[in-house]
Amino acid sequence: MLRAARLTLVLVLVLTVQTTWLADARPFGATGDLLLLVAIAAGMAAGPVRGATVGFIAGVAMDLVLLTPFGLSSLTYLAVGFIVGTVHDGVLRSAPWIPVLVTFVASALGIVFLVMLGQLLGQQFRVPGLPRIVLVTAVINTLLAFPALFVARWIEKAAPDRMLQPSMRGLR
Amino acid sequence: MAMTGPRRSGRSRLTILLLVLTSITVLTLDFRGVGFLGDARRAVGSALSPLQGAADFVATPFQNTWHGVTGYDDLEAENEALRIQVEQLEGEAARNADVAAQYDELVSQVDIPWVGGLSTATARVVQQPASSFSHVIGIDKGSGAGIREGMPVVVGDGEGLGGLVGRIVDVGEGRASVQLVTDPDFRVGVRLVTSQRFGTASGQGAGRDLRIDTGIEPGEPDADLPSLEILTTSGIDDRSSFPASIPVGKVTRTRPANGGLTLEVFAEPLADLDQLSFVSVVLTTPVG
Repeated sequence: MLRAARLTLVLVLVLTVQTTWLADARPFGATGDLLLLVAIAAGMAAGPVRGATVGFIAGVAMDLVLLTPFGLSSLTYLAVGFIVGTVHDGVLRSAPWIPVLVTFVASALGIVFLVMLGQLLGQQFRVPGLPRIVLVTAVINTLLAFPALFVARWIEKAAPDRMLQPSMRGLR
Repeated sequence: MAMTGPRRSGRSRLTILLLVLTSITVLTLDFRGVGFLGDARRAVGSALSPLQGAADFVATPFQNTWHGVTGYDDLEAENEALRIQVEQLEGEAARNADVAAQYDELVSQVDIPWVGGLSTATARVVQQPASSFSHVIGIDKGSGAGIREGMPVVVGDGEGLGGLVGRIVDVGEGRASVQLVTDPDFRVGVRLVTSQRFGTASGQGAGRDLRIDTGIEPGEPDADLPSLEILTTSGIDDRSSFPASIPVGKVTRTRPANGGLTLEVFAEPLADLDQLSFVSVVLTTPVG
């Protein structure tokens, strides 16, 4: 219950920042994607299942403020959260640069996957500056990787069964 | 008691499967136009409004600083362009009478006072496109102000011209969403003012010119389009759901298309879509 409340609070705040500050600033013509970062951080902090679950919820939140097909973001973030959790569980996590690398690559691939899935669903993502958008989003998310990971761990610490999950080792 | 490994693994797989199936189901429902998804979007939009207002209030000084820093080069360029423009206007002052006559002629051709007989609702832009792939903005007026889906949204430039911003695609009680003309899914029937040719303009993405399919062949006399020729909405039922004569854009270039059989026309939107603070919704019943 506490974990759900923390996640809700974080998602509302992140959604507000995404739809106001980032949407207005548009650094280099791209808005970044903080909700994708939430999914990535959840995957790194708590493994593939939580990554997928949080990714799905974050995606639904994003779908609610866009007029793209409902489910496009949730399916994308779900996949990204799951893959990040799987990959991150399988590597040595003591190196500090791993979350940075994982966030950068996952953000870039997440945007590419979103565009590809959108095209498959008939969306006309005619984006001439796709490489720029991918790069800007990946850089923004990477810069925020450690704060996001901290917040994700704060959320997951509220889970009642956290000690049962191998991916939650080292959270304390 | 702790859950065993295989059982946990099975539950995990089931969770993932359920999430994927839910996403696909929601996608399918959305494509079928199920109403509650739109209602949910409007409810979230209304719920987020106060938070967005507070966030904007807090961020305004920082945003101004940011725009000052990132837009410095643009401001310099704009300054230079304006200085040149002023010099040109001063040089043309002697031909003022002639210019005035030409202006009157242009007005009669373009039918600039297009909004004269139409009611409008002025609204504040409260949300910019929320993602890099979104071409939808939010405004703070909705069905309570008489706004309906399909209505054209325009903006003035202080001199009576301005242009088409987009169309209303979603309406709540106190909010509405506007699909910008640059959205690749946006289509509007247009008329080339001088040649009186009709065509369909489509968006090509943010910051890019509109593309107009006119059917003009390169060899035709109409193929030599005057530079900066103005496009307006055509108002023809099967091409446009908008009233006629709303200024849309000005021609910037042409190029052969379809193996040289037709001419593709590109036009810059007259509305400055990067600087929208207030817009006007034309309260007319969409045709078709």
